[in-house]
Amino acid sequence: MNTERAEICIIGGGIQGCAAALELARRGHDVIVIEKDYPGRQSSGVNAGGVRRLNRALPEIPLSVASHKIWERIADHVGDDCGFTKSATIMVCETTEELENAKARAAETRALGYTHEQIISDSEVHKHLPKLDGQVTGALQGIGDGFASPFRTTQAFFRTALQDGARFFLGHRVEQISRSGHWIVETRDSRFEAEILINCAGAWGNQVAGSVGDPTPVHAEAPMMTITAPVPHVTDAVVAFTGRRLSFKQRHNGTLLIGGGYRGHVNPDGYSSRLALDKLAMNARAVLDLFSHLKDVPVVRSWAGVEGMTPDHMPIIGPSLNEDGLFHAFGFLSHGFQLGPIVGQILAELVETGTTDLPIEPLSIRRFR
Amino acid sequence: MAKLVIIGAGPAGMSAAIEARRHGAEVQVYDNRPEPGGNIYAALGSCRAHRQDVWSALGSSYEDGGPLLDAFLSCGAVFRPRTSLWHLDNDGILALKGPEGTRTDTADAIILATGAQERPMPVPGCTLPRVMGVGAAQILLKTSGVVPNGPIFIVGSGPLPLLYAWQVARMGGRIAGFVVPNGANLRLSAFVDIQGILAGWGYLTKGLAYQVDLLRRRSLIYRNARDIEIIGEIHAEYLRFTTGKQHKIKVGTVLLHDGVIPSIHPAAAAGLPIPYTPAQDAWRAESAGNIHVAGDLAGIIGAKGAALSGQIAAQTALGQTNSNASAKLNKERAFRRLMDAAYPPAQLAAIAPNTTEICRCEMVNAGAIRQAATELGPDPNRIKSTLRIGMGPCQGRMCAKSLQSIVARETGTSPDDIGLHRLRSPITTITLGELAGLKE
Amino acid sequence: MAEGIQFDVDGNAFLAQPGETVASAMLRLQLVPFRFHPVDTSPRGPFCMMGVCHECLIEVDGKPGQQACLLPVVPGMSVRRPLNG
Ligand SMILES: Cc1cc2nc3c(=O)[nH]c(=O)nc-3n(C[C@H](O)[C@H](O)[C@H](O)COP(=O)(O)OP(=O)(O)OC[C@H]3O[C@@H](n4cnc5c(N)ncnc54)[C@H](O)[C@@H]3O)c2cc1C
Ligand SMILES: Cc1cc2nc3c(=O)[nH]c(=O)nc-3n(C[C@H](O)[C@H](O)[C@H](O)COP(=O)(O)OP(=O)(O)OC[C@H]3O[C@@H](n4cnc5c(N)ncnc54)[C@H](O)[C@@H]3O)c2cc1C
Ligand code: FES
Repeated sequence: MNTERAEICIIGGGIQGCAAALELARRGHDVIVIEKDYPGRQSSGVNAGGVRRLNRALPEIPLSVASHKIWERIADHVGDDCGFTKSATIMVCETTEELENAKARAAETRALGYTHEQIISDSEVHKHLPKLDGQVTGALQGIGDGFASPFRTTQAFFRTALQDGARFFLGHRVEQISRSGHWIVETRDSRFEAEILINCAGAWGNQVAGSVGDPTPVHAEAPMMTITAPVPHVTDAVVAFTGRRLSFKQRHNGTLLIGGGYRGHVNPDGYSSRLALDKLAMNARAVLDLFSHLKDVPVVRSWAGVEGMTPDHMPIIGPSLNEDGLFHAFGFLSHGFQLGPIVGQILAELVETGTTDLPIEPLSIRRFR
Repeated sequence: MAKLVIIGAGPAGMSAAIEARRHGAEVQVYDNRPEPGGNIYAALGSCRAHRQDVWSALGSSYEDGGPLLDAFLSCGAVFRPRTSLWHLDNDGILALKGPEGTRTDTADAIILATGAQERPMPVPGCTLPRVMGVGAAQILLKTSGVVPNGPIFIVGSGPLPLLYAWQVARMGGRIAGFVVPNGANLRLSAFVDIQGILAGWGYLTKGLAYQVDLLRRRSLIYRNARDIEIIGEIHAEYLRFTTGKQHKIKVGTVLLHDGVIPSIHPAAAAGLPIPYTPAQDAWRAESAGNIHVAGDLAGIIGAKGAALSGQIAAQTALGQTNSNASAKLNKERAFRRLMDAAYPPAQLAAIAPNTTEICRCEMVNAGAIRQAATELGPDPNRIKSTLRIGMGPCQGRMCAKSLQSIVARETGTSPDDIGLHRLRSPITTITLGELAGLKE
Repeated sequence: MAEGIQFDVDGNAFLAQPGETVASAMLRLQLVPFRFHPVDTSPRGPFCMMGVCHECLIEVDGKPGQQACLLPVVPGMSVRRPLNG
C-alpha cells in the first residue's frame, strides 16, 4: 500500500478544505487534501452562490464580515474574480410586523457596530421587483453583498492551493482514521500520515468526527434548487422573502435561480440525493404566487446538494476537545459558501498558533457536549 | 391486478402493452409524440388514413406496422399520447406531463421503451436551419408527406439514408448527392452483397437491387469526404468539403446521418446501469429492480427485435416466461451484429474542427472541450460543470455522445472509461406553471 | 388538400393537414428559421423532429418554448416565431 506523509492532512476538498489548503500552503506548510470526488462536486459546486452577510446569526457576523473583506479582493486572492458581482441583497417584508422585526434587527446589528444592514422602503423594493404582484412594506438590505459562481470559485481555490504547493488526492475516499502519535488516514488503496488532521468533510463531517471520538448531532440534508430558461428582466437583486419560503436571483444570462429551503431526500447510501417533487412544486407555487407572469417559463434543471445541518443551524468550527492536532469545520447548512475564505484563514491560524483573533468560541463543538 | 406503466409507444412499447394485456395486467402507455408508432412507424395511423400517396411510397417496411398498431389500439391498454416522462426516481416514482397537466404516478413495474435517436454528427454549420437528420426528414415525410427543399444532399452513411432516398424517389423526389465522410461506407456498390442482411432487417423488398441501382445513377456520390462544412446566413446555402479536390455546392437542404443510438436519458436519470457497447459505439440501458428496458433502448436492434424484446420485457415484468420469443430475439441480434459491422459510425465528432458547435444549447465548441479535457482530465462531470456543456434544455441529448468521443480521443482514454455525465430532472422541459400544478 | 386545418403563423393564415405537427407544417410552408438562439442569436430550425434537440421551440397561443415537432396543429392555433428576441 502506498503511503504519503505530510505535516497536515485535510479531509474534504470543498470550499472549506480548499481554502484551508490554500492558506496553509501559502504559509509554507506541507499539506495534503484527500477528496472522494473532486473539488466542487458536492455543496461547494452546486450551491446558490449567495455571498451575503445579511441576516446571519449574530455569532456568525464577525466571520462573515471578515470573509467579505476577502471576497472584495477575491481576484487577488485566487487569481480569478469567481464571477463575484455585487448586487442588492434583500429580505422582503410584506406586513408591518415583518418590517418592525426587520427594523429591530437592523438596530441590533448597528448597535453591535455593524453597518452592512439597512432598511429600504416599499417603493425601493418595487424598483428591484417591478413585476411583483402584491404589496410589500419594505426590506432589510445587505449593503455590498452579492453572488459568485460556486463551481468556478471552488475550482479557483483548488487551483491556487495546488499552485502554492498543496497536494491533492482526488477520487480518494477516507475509510478509516487511527492514531499512533501521528494520524493515519486510510483510503481503499492508500495510506496517509500527518501530524495534524483537519475535518472539512461537509455533510460527512460527522462521520469523520465520530470516528475520532468527537460525535456531533449533525445530520445530512438535501436542499434543492431550480433554474429556469432565460427570461426578460425580473430583478437586479438577490431576493428572499421574510415570511415565505422563497429566494431567487436572476443571473447575467437571464436565467432565474430559485430556492427557498425546500429539501429533497438524502439516499440511504448517505452520499447522493433525490428530489422531493412535492416540495419542488411548492417552491414553484411560491414563485407564481408573487410573479404570476412567470408561469410559462421553462424549468431547465432542478437538483439537490447534500449538506450537514446542526441543531442550531450554525457550523462547527474549531479544535477538537478530545484530541490534539485535530480541527473541525463542517455543518454549514445552506450558508457556508460565503464563509469559505475566512474559514480557511481561521484554520491556518489555529494550526499555527492554536488561536485566532476571530470569536469562534460560540461555534465550538463544545456546545453539543 | 398488476399495474404496468410503459414509456414509449414504438414497436417495443406497443408489443409490451399487447403482451401485458394478454396476461391481464392493467396497462398504461405514455409517449411524447402525437401518435403511437415510435420511429419506424411514426404517424402510421394518420398517414394510412389521410396520405395515400405517402403510404404507398413508404413501402412494405412501413406498412408492416399496420397490424401491430391495430392490435395495440384494441388491446385495452390506456394510451396517452403527447405525454412525456420528465422524472423517474430509482424508487419508481414517475412524473408525467401531457395535455391533462403534470402529475406523478407509481406502478408495480415500469417498462422503459424510449427507443432511439440519431447519433449527432457535428460538422461546422450544422446548427443552421435546413440542416436536419435523415431520420428527421423521414419523420417529416411520414407526418406530412413533405420532401424538403432541393437540392438535397445527404452527408453520412448507413441503411437509413438508402431507405430514405428510395422512399423520396418513390415520392417523385430526388437526392441530389451523397457525401460519404472519410472512414464511413455507403456500401452502394457492395450493396447486393448485403441485400440479404437488409432484407432480414425488414427494410428491403424484392427488386431492391434495381432500385438502388437507379438511385446510384440519379445521385452524385462523393466518397472519402473531409473538412465537411455547411455554410449559410439564415439557413444552409452551400456544402463545402474536399475529396482530393475542393467542392462547394449550392444546397437546399443538408441531411446528416451517422446511425442511431439508444435514447438513454430517461433511463440514466433513473439511475439504471448505462454500459457502453463498443460495437455500436453507444451507451445502452439495462433493467434494474422493477424498471425494465426494452427495444432499441437496450441496444439498437431494429423494429422486429424491438417488438420481441418488448414482449419479453412484459413477460419478465409480470413474472412469466417464454423461451420462444428469446430464441427469435437472438436471431435478430445476429442480424444486427452484421449490420453494425457493415456500417461503422463515421465518428466525425472526434475529429470535428475546434470551431464546431458540439453543445447546441449552451454553445460549447469542440475546441473548448479539448482544452477542458486536457486541463481537467476525462471526467465528463467536471467538464460539464466548467463549460456548462449539456446543461441546456436538451439535457445533453445532442452532445453527450460527441463529448465522449472527443474526450476519449483527446486524452487517450478508452470510451468505455468515460461515463455519461450526471443527469438532472426535468429530463424534458416543463414550465414553472406545470411544476406548480403537479398532482399526485 | 381537402381537409385543411386553418392556423396562423406570425399573423398570416395557413392550412395544415390532419396529423401534421406544427414543425412539419411550417417546414412544408418553408417558414424557417423558427427562432434565434438566446446565447448567440444564431438562426435555428427543427433538427430531430422527435423531441430530442429542442431546436424547434416556438410560441403557440401565447405560450413560449413549445416543441413544435411534438405538437399537432389544431384549428385556430396561433404560432409566433420569437424572431426578435
Ligand atoms: C442547494 C444549496 C444552496 C446553497 N446556497 C448557498 C448560498 O447561496 N450561500 C452560501 O453561503 N452557502 C450556500 N450553501 C451552502 C454551501 O454550499 C456550503 O455550506 C459549503 O459549500 C460547504 O462547504 P464544505 O467544503 O464544507 O462542503 P462540501 O462542498 O460538501 O465539501 C466537502 C467535501 O468533502 C468530501 N468528503 C466527504 N467525506 C469524505 C471522505 N470520507 N473522504 C474524502 N472526502 C470526503 C466531499 O466529497 C466534499 O467534496 C448552499 C448549499 C446548497 C446545498
Ligand atoms: C429517426 C429514426 C428513424 C428510423 N426509421 C426506421 C425505419 O424507417 N425503418 C427501420 O427499420 N428502422 C428505423 N429506425 C430504427 C428504429 O430504431 C427501430 O426500427 C425501432 O423503431 C425501434 O423501436 P423502439 O420501440 O425500441 O423505439 P422507437 O421506435 O424509437 O420508439 C420510442 C418511443 O418512445 C418515445 N419516447 C422517448 N422518450 C420519451 C419520454 N421521455 N417520454 C415519453 N415518450 C418518450 C419516443 O418519442 C418514441 O415514440 C429509425 C430510427 C430513428 C432514430
Ligand atoms: S426538432 Fe428536435 S425537438 Fe423538435
